[in-house]
Amino acid sequence: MNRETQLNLQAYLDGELPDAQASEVAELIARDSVAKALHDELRQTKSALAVAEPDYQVPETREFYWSKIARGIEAAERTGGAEADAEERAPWYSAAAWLRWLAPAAALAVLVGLLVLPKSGGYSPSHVTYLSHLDEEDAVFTPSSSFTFRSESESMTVVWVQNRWD
Amino acid sequence: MSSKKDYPTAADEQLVRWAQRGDMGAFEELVARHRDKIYSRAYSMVRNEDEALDLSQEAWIKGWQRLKQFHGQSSMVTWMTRIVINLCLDHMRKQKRERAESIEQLEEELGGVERQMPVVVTNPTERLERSELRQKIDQALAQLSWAHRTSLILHEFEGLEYKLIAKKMGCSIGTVMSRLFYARRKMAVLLAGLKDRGEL
Repeated sequence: MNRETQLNLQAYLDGELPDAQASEVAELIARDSVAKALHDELRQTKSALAVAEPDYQVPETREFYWSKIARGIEAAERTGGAEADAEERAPWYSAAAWLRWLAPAAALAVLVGLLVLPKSGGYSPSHVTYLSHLDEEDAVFTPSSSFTFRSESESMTVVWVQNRWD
Repeated sequence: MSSKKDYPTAADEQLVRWAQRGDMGAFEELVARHRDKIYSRAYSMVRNEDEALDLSQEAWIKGWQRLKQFHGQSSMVTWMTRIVINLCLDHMRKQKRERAESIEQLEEELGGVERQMPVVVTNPTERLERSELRQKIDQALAQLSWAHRTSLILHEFEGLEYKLIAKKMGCSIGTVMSRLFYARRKMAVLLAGLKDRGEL
């Protein structure tokens, strides 16, 4: 008898074969004594296990056995509670983390803006100086002439005013 | 409030409902009622008292943690038995990874050894008292490898189909069939041998 037939005999016993195949195995058992003997042996073992499953008893008192479970539950709930607290706080932690990054980012943005804007026509202290110079020049244009010098390195503007009435 | 509850006379279903609301006393009563059954399944699989104790207690802890997921489709004991079986399977897988398999075990896994066993013609369990038979089966189960014993336990005691056993044990249906076949054949030989040697 080959292995497939042996396993089919077992599957037949366990009710795991499709109907058509189960009929074939039933016929085999009816006509083949070796197949019948093996099927009987498998059936006897199955029957014995079905009626006499060994049972074992906890070798500890109820109180002692429970005490370890109770400690395990408490420990798990402490861990679980800490995890739950962390999850509950998570949005606030996220917001705080964003804020921690936001402040330096904002400062950096302002600094970059100050450096970049003059090139694109915005305001800067030196530009204000130039404008002041122009305004001032315009203001004194008629009665006087002037000469302006701007030192970026010294952050200083010097205006010479010459009175034409002289 | 909990002092008014009569735990010992309450049905399992009532105890479960109380426990699901956080009543530890109700859960303790459930443990007391079914601890032997859960321990028994763990012991039958791992065959070690200390490990069975640890695994069964771990199962109860997990049971408490997952209690809200229990909706009563099966009995509380069946649900807890599934938990302890899964823990035992994980435990045995870890152990299997850590220890080297013997040549005999490898031969058993590959199959074929059982084909050399003679068919047991007479029923060795006839005329035995239930307690005697139980003891014989216990002794025979102890001599199987964990893979064969587990296949047998899941099929015969838990009533799982080949497909589900394969899924739980992480193997093919063919492997489950081979393991079951080997386990049954060896059990038959062992039961006959134990009777012949008068080891009861």
